[in-house]
Amino acid sequence: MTNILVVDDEVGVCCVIQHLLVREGYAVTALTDGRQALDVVARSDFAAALIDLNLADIDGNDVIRAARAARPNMPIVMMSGMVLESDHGMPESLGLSARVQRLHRLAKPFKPKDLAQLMREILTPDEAFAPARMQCRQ
Amino acid sequence: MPTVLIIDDDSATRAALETLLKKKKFCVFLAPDGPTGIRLIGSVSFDAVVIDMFMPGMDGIATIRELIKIDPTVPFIAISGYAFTDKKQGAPDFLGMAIKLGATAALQKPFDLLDLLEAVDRAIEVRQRLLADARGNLAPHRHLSGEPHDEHPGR
Repeated sequence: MTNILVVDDEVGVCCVIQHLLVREGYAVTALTDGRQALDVVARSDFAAALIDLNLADIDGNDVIRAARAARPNMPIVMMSGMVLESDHGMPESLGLSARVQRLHRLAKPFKPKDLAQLMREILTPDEAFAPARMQCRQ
Repeated sequence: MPTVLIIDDDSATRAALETLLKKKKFCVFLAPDGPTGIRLIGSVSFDAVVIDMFMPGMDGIATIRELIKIDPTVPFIAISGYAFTDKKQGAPDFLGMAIKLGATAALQKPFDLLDLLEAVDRAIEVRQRLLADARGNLAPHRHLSGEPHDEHPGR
């Protein structure tokens, strides 16, 4: 089953996102601790990662950079309640290249169907259809 | 599957409403207090929110005011265990205040669960109509600019 990493310091938000993704057929590893996330992204393999920018203990950008360094091809979704203004790149505050590949944005508050659609879009066709096949077998 | 957030400090009420709404195929999330509910509303755009008026700390009215700041398109239903409508005693009518703030329904506990279901259905209809209207208003702009579909107009 496609495994998705979710990093958000709010336990409730983590639970909601986890529930929404599991409902779509994904397996989810949810973390509220940014430092733990740094360790996990370096050691474990995920099909995609959703990372909140505003973590309590460390800067979410640090987790994004660590995830990108460890998994150059993994789609990363940066989540934030702040306005993400540019359509073509990341805000300057991120300090990340606008050309970084497979880096996506999800502005909070997001609609559950937008989350589901984004996950389908960012995962490769094989990965995206894996959950459906798993469900059919059950 | 429509998503509904229930904000109520009473665990029995949360459990009862969760059971009821899940049976009707809603995707239900729970918050035991206003601040927790507001944090969830700040992350996920729910189809409807049920808010208890009397909670310790941040009460229902304060929660509604924060909700409106974050996501003005989210319909909310006020529920209350007390009736403070006796103006002679100077007690405020919180359900009435909630309606004035834009609640799509206000239910006095104990309420008929069917009334709540009806209120949730109606709230979701209101939201869908609002979003459809907003999309209609934004359609020419999206066409001209080539912008992607915007589910959160006005934000």
